[in-house]
Amino acid sequence: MVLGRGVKKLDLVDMLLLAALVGLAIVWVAPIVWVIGLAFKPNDVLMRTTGGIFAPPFTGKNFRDILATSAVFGWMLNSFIVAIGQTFLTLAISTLAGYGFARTDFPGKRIAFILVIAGLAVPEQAIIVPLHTMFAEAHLHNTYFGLIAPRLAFPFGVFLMYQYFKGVPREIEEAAMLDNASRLKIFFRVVLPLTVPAQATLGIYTFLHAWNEYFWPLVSATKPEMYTLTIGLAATQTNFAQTEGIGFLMAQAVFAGLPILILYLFFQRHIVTAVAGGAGK
Amino acid sequence: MAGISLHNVGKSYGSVEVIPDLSMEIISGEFLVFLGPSGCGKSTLLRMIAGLEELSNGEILIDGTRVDALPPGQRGVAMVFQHYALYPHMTVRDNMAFGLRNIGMSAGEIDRKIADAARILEMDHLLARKPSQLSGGQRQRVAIGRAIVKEPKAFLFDEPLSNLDAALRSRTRIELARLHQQVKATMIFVTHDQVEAMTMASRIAIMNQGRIEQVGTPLEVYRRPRTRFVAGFIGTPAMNILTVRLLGEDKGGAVVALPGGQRVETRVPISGLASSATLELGVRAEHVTTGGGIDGRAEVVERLGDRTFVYARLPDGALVVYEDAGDSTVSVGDPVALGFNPAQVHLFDSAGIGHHAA
Repeated sequence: MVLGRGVKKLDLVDMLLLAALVGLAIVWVAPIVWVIGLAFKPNDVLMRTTGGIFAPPFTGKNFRDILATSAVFGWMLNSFIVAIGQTFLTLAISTLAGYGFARTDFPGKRIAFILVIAGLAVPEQAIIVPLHTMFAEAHLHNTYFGLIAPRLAFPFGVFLMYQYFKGVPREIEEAAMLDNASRLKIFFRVVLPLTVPAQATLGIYTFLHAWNEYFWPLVSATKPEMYTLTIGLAATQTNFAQTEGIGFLMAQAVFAGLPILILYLFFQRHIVTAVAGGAGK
Repeated sequence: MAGISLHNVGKSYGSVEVIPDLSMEIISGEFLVFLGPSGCGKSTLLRMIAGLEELSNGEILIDGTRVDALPPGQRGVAMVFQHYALYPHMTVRDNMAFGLRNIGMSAGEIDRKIADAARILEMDHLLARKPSQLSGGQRQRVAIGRAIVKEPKAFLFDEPLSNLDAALRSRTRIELARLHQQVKATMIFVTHDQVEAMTMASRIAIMNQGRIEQVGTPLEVYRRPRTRFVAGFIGTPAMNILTVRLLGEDKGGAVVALPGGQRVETRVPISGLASSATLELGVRAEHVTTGGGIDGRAEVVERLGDRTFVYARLPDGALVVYEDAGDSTVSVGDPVALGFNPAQVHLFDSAGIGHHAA
């Protein structure tokens, strides 16, 4: 089934598929539309009913209140620091490790690689208690390092980069060796630029995951000033009586989602690859 | 321009011996082709000269200097790979400049060398393009250009024509031969295609199972194959090889008999043949004559226009191919009477060594 100009007519199966997809899309989009709608409604109206979101009155007060009072900026900054730090460090570690496993020989390489791959099978929840104890003893809770570090050892990233480096023809590196390039130069000038698609995939996947991460920040960030966005929003929602109302809450949610939306607009193609690639994890 | 010496060069991967012990001299300025079937070790040998494979034993000298301990970039050689190995993210100009920048050459000098190479290879209009925007033939040219700008002591080619279509391959063959005359550098070319070897080489080194079977000019290896392997490998169609029995000597040449008893006279001196347990006779299709005393029946007739190859079955079951005129009237099933030109018959002893007319 291809949609567009001058394309074949849809048959019955195509139409049924299309109808099912539209139905699923509506189910998926409806809560988001509802959240956005509520964010533009006055809180006193929402006290009476949360229906009729498309009918006036509308207001921008909830967003103005965020700019004036909310702690959401602080949480967002924390999320940015954690997500960006995690993304860059994961890229650096996974790329170097992937290249090492794909292209160099060292004693114990096979066992080390098996250990890395075995890491794919260990769920985060299984190691949360020892991780918590370790970080507590090192006084690393409520620090950026504490929020960033546990996910840097990312077996999926190492495996992804390993596979990608394996796919780069060895002849290209050999040509560079004959061109008198050092090993470092070959890595940075010849091989690394060829892995940009994999880097983009891994980078976006890591960023999205770090931005949406809930479990570890919940354990590690106990002080409100170290909350990430996910923890901060959850905290305000579970303490509904103390919030400025449901419209304000929804406006915060919309505000929190904006960076990801912008990211998506710029990197749509890579995000699709990242999600498809990460689906097997 | 430099000569290359290989002294007792060997290569093993664990217990697998790819090249047992190989020595040869590659003459400065020559176009040497390593020719052999897949897996014979010719690419491994080339990669050892380039420095991309370590030697298990032996030594390599380029221009009299031992290089086998030097990294590839310091051996003064340039290589053109089978799949071109261009840097996909760099323009053609940057591909050619990369190696020159790495040795600290000035930008002006680099530009001049690239311009010279682009002129020789007629690819000035491609310099700003990326490899993905080039055809297979153009990529090949860039790969050659990248080698030329380095002005190496020797060019190494690893089956560089195998990815081109037939027409382009034949054109590139001519261009490479012309390039060799122009730059007068030592060139080593690896291929399994005997047409490439015959048309371009100053000398051909025919390899089999990690050993050199024969080194010689194209005509030498064609006319006087040193071994039975060379006889069977060079030439299309392959040389007819028939098992024979030594009868004696006549007019200074060995006389042999085919399994069916037909007597064949040769000009091959008999010395060294009598002690051989078995003997094989080799004769090329163009040296099989019609009207002789060996009867057969035409089984396959290949008409190529300017000539015809007839595959005839002898009563003893052997198949003999001979060359007939382009307008040959022979049809499948026709009886044919064949003879062998005695001066062009070769005999191979039980060790596979060829004996030729004096």
